[in-house]
Amino acid sequence: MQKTPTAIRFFSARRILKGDLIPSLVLLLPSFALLTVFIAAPLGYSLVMSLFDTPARNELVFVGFNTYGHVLGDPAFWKALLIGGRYALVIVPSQIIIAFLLASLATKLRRRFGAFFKVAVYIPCVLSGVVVGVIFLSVFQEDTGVFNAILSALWKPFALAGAKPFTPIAWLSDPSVDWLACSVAVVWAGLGYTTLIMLGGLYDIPVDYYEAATIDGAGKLAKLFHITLPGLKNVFVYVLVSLIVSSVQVFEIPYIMTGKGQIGTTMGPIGFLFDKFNYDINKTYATVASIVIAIILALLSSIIFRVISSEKSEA
Amino acid sequence: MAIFNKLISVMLVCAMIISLHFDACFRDPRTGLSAGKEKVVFWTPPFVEVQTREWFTKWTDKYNEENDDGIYVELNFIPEDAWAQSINAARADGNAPDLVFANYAAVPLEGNAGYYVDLNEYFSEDEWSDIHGYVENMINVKGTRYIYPAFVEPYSVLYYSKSKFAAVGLDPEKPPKTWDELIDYAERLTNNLSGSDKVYGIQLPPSGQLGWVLWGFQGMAGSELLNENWDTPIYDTAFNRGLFEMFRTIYKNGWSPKTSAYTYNEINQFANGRVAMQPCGSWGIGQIKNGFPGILDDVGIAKFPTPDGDDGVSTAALGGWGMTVSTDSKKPELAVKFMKYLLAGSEEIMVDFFQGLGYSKFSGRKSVDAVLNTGEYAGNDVYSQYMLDEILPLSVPEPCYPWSFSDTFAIKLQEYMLQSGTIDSVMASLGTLMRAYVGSEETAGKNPRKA
Amino acid sequence: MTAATRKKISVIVFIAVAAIVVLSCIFPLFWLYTSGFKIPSDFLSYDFRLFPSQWTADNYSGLITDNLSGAYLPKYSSVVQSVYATLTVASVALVLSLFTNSAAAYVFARLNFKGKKIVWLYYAVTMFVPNMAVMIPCYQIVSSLGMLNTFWGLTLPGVPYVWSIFFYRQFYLSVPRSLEDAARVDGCGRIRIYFRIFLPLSGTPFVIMGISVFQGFWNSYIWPIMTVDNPMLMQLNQLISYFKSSQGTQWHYLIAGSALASVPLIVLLVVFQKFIIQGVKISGIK
Repeated sequence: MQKTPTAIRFFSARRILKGDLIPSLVLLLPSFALLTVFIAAPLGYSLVMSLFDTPARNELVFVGFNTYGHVLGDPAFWKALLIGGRYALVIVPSQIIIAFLLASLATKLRRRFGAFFKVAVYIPCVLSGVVVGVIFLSVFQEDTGVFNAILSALWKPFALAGAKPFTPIAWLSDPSVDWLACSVAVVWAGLGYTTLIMLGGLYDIPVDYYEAATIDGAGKLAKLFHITLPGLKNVFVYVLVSLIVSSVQVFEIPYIMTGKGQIGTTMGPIGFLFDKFNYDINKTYATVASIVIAIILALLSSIIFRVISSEKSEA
Repeated sequence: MAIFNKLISVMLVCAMIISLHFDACFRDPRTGLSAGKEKVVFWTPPFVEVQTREWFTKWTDKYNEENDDGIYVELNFIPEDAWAQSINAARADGNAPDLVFANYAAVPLEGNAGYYVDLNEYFSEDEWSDIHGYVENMINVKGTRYIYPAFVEPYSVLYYSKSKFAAVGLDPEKPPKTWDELIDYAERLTNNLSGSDKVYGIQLPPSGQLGWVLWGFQGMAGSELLNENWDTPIYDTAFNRGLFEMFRTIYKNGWSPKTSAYTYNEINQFANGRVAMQPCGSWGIGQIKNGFPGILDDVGIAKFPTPDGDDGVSTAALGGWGMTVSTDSKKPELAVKFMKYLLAGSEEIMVDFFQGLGYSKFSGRKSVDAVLNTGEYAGNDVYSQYMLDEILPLSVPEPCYPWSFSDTFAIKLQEYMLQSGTIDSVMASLGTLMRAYVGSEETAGKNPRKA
Repeated sequence: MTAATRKKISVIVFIAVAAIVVLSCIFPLFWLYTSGFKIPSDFLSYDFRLFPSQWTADNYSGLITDNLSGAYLPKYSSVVQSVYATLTVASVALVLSLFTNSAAAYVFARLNFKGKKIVWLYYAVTMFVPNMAVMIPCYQIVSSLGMLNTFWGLTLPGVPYVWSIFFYRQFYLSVPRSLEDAARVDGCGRIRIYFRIFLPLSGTPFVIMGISVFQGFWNSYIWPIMTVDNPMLMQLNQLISYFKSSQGTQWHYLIAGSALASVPLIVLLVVFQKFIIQGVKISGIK
């Protein structure tokens, strides 16, 4: 115990002299080591290999950026990427808005109901992709599915009033709606996670901010725009970026529901890569395509980050 | 500080104890079995029928017990979900399994790329003469043979419901023979009810598998999608135009369900009574026998109709699987010993295989068929006899060019079927895409089968 | 309409909406569990069917008593054993993940040193690469480290997860600096501050991200299939994937297996959801 005062003083002096470098190194070391060995090194290897063709076993042919040219010029690649973008356009706003509403709802519920609600809302996330796919395969069946049954029941009043009767929609095979059905399934399966994150963010905002605002006479909308939304900014950035990146890469659920889609309308970039990685003998195309996708997503995310960045989220 | 240090050292000791515990708790029970023996690793996907998995296990165990070459075969079922990733990763690591159960279509290109051993080193021409001619065509790649056949299964075979035929006034013993008849029957067999009473005339192959299902028509078409030198696509033919029109006619008129929750491989839509006719592979009859035995008497099979109803025209491609030896293997002679035992040895083993599957798959070996055609097996099965007589002899090998060609062809067929473009514009865009692939995949001159 | 009536209506609407949401989330789970009791022929069509035509406990019991090993499932494998294996892998990985990643997040949120931007870039770049691209080189590295078919080969590669670092960072950014300043005045070093202040405040983000990380390991099957053929080490979803194939699926076992696999996750959820609560950050002083 006698050592302690000197140790602290020594520590303080060291701290002033060396800044944050040593503590940073110590705290960063485990994740840095694991990251380098299992993710960064394979990534580096892939980057190098993207410059080579592998036409046969143990055969490497240097092709430089040739394959990048092939990928960027392949209409099938861009089609898949745009489909990924379309998924993001539908999935991201719906998840964010619905999750925010649900999270706000959850804050108003009493203890026991709140607990039940938190668990219930997250349950779809717990199910594996296969189970979600099977559930929605059944729901979106053309002749016997629940979804068409509900739509047909809702249409009944209009049909009685003289409009033409409801024709069952082929959710899983009509190219104009199959991606929509897949998006619904993906949103349903991911909603709970986003809701809990939003909830955590809402809980993070000190309660007395709201109390002070009420005392000052602020109305509901004012509170929303001046306390809630700014308070959620940090969480919102995370949700936005991670949702965009994961929606563009959505694969398992649409694959189980519709395969690649009748004319490829549900096949995002990862689906496009799937066959190429597995069956092409020359793996370079697939490697290059995934690097291009990563670059595009990274650029997009950094733009979003910069735009939303405030002094709170800056390093 | 002292407490901190104590805490950390206690945690480290616990961690070490725990990590030792883990190794002990997860000791592989199979290490004892291969002690003192030469281990040969054999990978196969777990086929859907449990009988097949049991067949693999039973005969591998028997071999391990009885062989006096000191060989232990480690049989690993690798689920299809990650089959390709596992094989590719093992190859990248230089540790591909000694024996791989492989599908014929991918073998020529992979073999020529150096991943499989040429089995001619281990089998004599005499042993190869036991293989049926139509199977030999498939495994022989300019004289090299990378794969020894286990079984073949032709597709497509047309399954139809005799009672549904009779109900609309069609002769149950006269399945359609021409494409016009097929379209006509599809129209007549579609009823006007709704919900679960709705019956469609025919189940068109779902888009997910269409790419390879269309291989079944290449014999009929007279050509694959690429010419022999693999430098020019062959796509805009009268046959293909007719095929596109037929799909569109059936689809747009609602004679085929717009949605099928099942893959082409599954006979469920037909067996559930949702459709009156379904093209499926020969394995379909096995699925009916095992999963839907009640309808067996109502099932008729026929070879798939040809455009003009000609006989002597191929109506199917040969799917199927066989065994290969990876070039990574350090003990190919030992691996081949097991291969010969399992596939090329006593006919009893293969007969056991086919019997367990209800004769819905077929042997590549004449000697095995000889046994299956005699004694207790003879005339056992009307369906397999029909397929043996009418479908197998004319079946063609699956094409082995890169997947992009087949995939694009199928997508364009779907586009034509679903949308309202003209056949000329669809063919034009198909041509552009395929010529682009010839360039980007550098296929010119790479046909493994070209003499 | 009086304010009281308006309030009543809004309460009713709230409850109705909440009920619909809860129902649409829970109903499929209920369907999953009852479907586990169906006989195989109930799965021959995708028509919706809530209750089995014939109740049977064979699916669940077949899975739990390991009757399927050697037939559907690999020889020597066992569902019970794989639950144990998956549980240990996921738990150890979770603990490692929580600590290593939150420590890194703390550094990026609060500490400063030369080259920090470059290090952050190094981390961030890995966030966008699709898994597929790095799986095979990662396999080669794991193999050269001798970790194929081992416990650590299953846990370690999944521990570095930069999205979780990003996530914790966003939470740590909103920890009031006054808390830290007070600690530094007391003479705490940066590392101490992490352990004494940030870690205890991480309840909510740890639960949210922790359940997701645990679930990621619990549900994973591709990496286990690629790296593990030791039947004692096989992961739960790896075993379940044996019921699937391109030629067809044993739905009754797949559904029953998936139902069983979901139970521990839900238990965890129920136990830990109470840590997602209103924070105690009231103008900085605890």
